[in-house]
Amino acid sequence: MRVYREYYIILYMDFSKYISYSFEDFLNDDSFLSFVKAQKTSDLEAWDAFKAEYPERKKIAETAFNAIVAFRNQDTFFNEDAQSKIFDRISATIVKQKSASKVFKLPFYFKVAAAFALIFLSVFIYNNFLNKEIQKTDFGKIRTVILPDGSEVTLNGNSKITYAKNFNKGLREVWINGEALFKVKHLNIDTNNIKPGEKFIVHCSDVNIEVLGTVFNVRDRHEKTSIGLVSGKIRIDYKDLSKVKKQFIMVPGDFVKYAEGKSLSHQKLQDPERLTAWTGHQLVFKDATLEEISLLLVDDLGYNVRLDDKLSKLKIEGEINVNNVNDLIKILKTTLHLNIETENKNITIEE
Amino acid sequence: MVSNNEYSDKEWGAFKSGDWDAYVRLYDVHYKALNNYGFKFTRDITLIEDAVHDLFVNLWEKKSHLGNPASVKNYLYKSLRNLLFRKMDRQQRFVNIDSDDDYPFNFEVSFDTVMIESESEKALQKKIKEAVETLPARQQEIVYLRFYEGLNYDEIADIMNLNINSAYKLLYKAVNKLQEKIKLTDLLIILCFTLSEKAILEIN
Repeated sequence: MRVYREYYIILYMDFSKYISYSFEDFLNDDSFLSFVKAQKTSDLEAWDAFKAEYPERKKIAETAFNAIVAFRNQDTFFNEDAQSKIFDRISATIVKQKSASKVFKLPFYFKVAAAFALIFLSVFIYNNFLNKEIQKTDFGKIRTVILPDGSEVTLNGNSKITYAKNFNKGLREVWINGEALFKVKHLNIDTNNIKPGEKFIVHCSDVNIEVLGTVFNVRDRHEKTSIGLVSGKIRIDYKDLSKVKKQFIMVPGDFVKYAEGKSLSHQKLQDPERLTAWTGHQLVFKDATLEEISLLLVDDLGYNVRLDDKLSKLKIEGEINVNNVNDLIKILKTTLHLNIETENKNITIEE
Repeated sequence: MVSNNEYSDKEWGAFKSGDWDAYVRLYDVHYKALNNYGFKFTRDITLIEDAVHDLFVNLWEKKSHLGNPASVKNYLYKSLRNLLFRKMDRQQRFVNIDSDDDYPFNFEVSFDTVMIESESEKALQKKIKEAVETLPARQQEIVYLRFYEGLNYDEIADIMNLNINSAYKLLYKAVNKLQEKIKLTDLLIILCFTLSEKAILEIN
């Protein structure tokens, strides 16, 4: 504004100072830039007069002028269609924050009472209206659940998923306990640009998985999660915010599991299909220790396993692929030369 | 005289003391320019809209603590830029974890070719566009702030968080690089295409 006013007073811009200007000097001169920006008729006349008077400066002056014009020539994005919509959003947020901050002006005892009331109210609303849907399986039972959005979740034995009854609206969130194979229906086409309403998130005890459209297997036992990706793309968000690396994007064949020191280890699977073998009631292990095998018998199938500590690190090299526990025990007996007693759901493993 | 595109100190004062109408005008006056600036950093429109939303919510919340900036528009630019930086940094972290570039976005410059008529001008325009695109993001941003917005070095330094000397150096580098690609004599051709005063007012 001030600049324009200056022009009115001088009437003609004084170009004589530009006689000794280099190309860079022109670009660095604020009043020259304002002149090119505004291109007022009176100034353009003075500009032409300047060039006529100093023909040897004409070339450099015109070049600078044109350079600025060229650099100014850019695309615009005004987003006018959204102007009132965004302002509505802004005022809605302001109103919300205003009513929230009012509570804190009340006396202390009132605040405490209000806080308790709020908690009870939320629990009440949560239980009665937002009611979570819970799906779970018994030991050794495998069941496929179709979520309201059409996604399929196959639950392994002794596993549980929880999700909101109004799951289909907005963000899709599932909490998992145990092991499940997810076949997520994706709502988006562009996986690099997922809107909040299209997201599918699986909450595990130590990480969250954000699904970018996909088939993957999650095992969350004893607060230790392992995740294998069969197809598509998922993102792992660490819940522990103190970690340097907070996210990891998995591609098919990636397998990520809990490692010591509360971080996740990452490996490539040669045969990611093995991840889903359990859905056909198969027991599949690769280079597994006796401890890992017995944990699975306990966690998924509900056995009581008594295993001598010194045997727990014994490893069975290679792959085991059997259809039932009896076959598994036969293999353990013959390869490790162990004494294994079974009685109903009790297994005792000794030397 | 206060034009419709200017936000006066008086209005800023009224907004700070809680005048809702002054706040609405603050939004209306700057909305387009902020979107335009945001579009240079990202083509993710939702992200720009979220940043504009956050910016104005913050302004209202902190209105009584705000100072009197020399230029309200530049103050808003700077704030929007910081918000976008933070938002894009958050996004960038998982897209490219190991990137050593400290600039979390690509400054995207595109050129409007509607008003250019002759073939040689079109070819030159293309050359300039390509040349600008080869510049690092910070240099593209300074070219934008300097030539498109017509800001002085004080203002640029403030918005980009630089000292004035670095701002000079950065623009000097950018212009030098452009000159390597575009000969000064080439620029003589485009004398005839000039932006009309009306179009410029519209942009600001």
